[in-house]
Amino acid sequence: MEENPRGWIHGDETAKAMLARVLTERPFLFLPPLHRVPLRVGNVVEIAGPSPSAKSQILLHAAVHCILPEEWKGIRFGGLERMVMYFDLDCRFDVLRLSQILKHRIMEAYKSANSTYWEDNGEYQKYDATEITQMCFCDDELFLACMRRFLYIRCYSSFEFLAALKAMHFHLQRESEALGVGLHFLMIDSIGAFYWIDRACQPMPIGGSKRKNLSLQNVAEAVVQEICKLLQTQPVLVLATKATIFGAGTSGNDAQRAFGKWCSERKMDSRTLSKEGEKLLYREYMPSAWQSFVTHRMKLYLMGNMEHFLRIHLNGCSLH
Amino acid sequence: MAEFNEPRSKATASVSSSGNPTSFLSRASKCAKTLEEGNRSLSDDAGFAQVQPMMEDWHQPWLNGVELLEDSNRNKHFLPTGYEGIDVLLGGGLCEGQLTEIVGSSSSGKTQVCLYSAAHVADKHFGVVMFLDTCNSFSPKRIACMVDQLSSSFSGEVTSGHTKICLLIIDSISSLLTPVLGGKGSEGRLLMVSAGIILKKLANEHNVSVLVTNHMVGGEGGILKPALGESWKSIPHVRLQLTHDQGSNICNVSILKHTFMASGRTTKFVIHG
Repeated sequence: MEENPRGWIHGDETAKAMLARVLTERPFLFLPPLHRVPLRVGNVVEIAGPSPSAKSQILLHAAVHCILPEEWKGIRFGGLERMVMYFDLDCRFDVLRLSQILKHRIMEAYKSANSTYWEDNGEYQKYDATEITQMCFCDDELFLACMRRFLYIRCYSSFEFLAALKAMHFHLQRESEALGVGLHFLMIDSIGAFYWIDRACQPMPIGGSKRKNLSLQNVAEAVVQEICKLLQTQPVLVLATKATIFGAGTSGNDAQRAFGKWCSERKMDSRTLSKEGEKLLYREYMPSAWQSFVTHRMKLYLMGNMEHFLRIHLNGCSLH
Repeated sequence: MAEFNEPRSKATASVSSSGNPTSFLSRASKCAKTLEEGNRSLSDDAGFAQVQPMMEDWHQPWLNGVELLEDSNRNKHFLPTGYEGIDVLLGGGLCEGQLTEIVGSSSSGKTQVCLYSAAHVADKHFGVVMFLDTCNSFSPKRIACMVDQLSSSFSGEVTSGHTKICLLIIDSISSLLTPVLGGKGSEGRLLMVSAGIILKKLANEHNVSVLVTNHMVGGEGGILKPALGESWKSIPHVRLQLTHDQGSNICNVSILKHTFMASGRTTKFVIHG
């Protein structure tokens, strides 16, 4: 340790050098369905929306983008070749859907690679039978390698979720030593899955007053703390979906419900009605510990005929 | 050597709490060692290594994509309902390990579909069917009729069937939950979410397909919507809506939600008997 006071005053690096370093170490990611939003490792993204909107599909597409390699046997996939950790709190994950998306991406990459080959050569060539079987064999090997990079755990209660978060570090180390790649995404399907259960827990003191009481706030704080610990040692991008649990016309208050009915009978201006409904639909119910942890908040809207509309709120300013 | 002695003497001068200079030095060197090591992984900690095997019991096992696929191929089969339209729409039938919901207004054919699926699955010896009837809709005569119809078209071999439950039908889970929902308290939603978690756990661990029915209530503008509210929408894996034209025996079924099919797909099927 040098005893140089001047060394303390001079900065370590200039802002320009720091920006260059950070952008190379943590580059912006453009995930396929969210490619208008630049995301970086260390961001915590919350995707909220009513039930039939495609929240889990966004997670699956992002996961496939992550587990695919950059390039494999000469074909360019453009993936990140890193691990994905998926916490299934909703218990609604379907592995067939994941394999469907993965196979589709692989086939698309093969097709585009072969079409460029044809364009280069200027001739139209038909596939041999051997080439097709070779392609299928390659698919299997690549497919299995990708699926091995997808880590999954289900949780049936907040306790299991917290236990899994605490034990995750040990498991991740083992897996990254086995596979040789690091973790890039941490996905939580439906962070609000245990909201009603945790909310109903009476804060009762367990074994003396030193232990923390069990309540919604404490669970959220513990979850945020564990994820922060992970972010310190291993920077990941956190993606969490959140289901809207308050319906557009529901509220606990009978008077408000009657008002809603009266509005629909009077056929008021549809814009004001839908705004009221929207406010109730996207009512924030997660505790403040989680709300302040989130850096990006995305809201999915359903426009009639099952179309989806993505509105993104980035700390105040909104894009479409 | 002089440098080495200097900090030691400084330490003796400054330390007041512990009179032993060597212990302070050893503590200081240990501190420096941990700082030098920088990013030590948590798993090196001896304490954590002792706790870690216990923690394995507190959460579900870790899986990866390959293991999930193997489990799905080996254990999670599709149970055909017997109605070709529904089976084609669902890509094979009711999936083991998933919670399927059928929504429809009264006399739209929900109970009929449940009874016929039960009869069909039992007849084809996929396993044992458990039927939980909460709204007095089960009729042994109808089941006997259906089994007769099915058996007459089958070759009548009696194979030793499995004794494992493969299909759990709860006719009208909504009639159990709607009296508790609503009102000021949130106990109803707590009950609903807990029931959903238990059913999905059962389905996944015992490879059972769970089929529940739900009724419709009036919504905004007089349009009917499924009962049980917004929180229930994110609980079942698959949601199907049945509609029945009066006086005909053709039913419409459309997908409200599915894990890998597009929503909005519809098909028709004919109700037997």
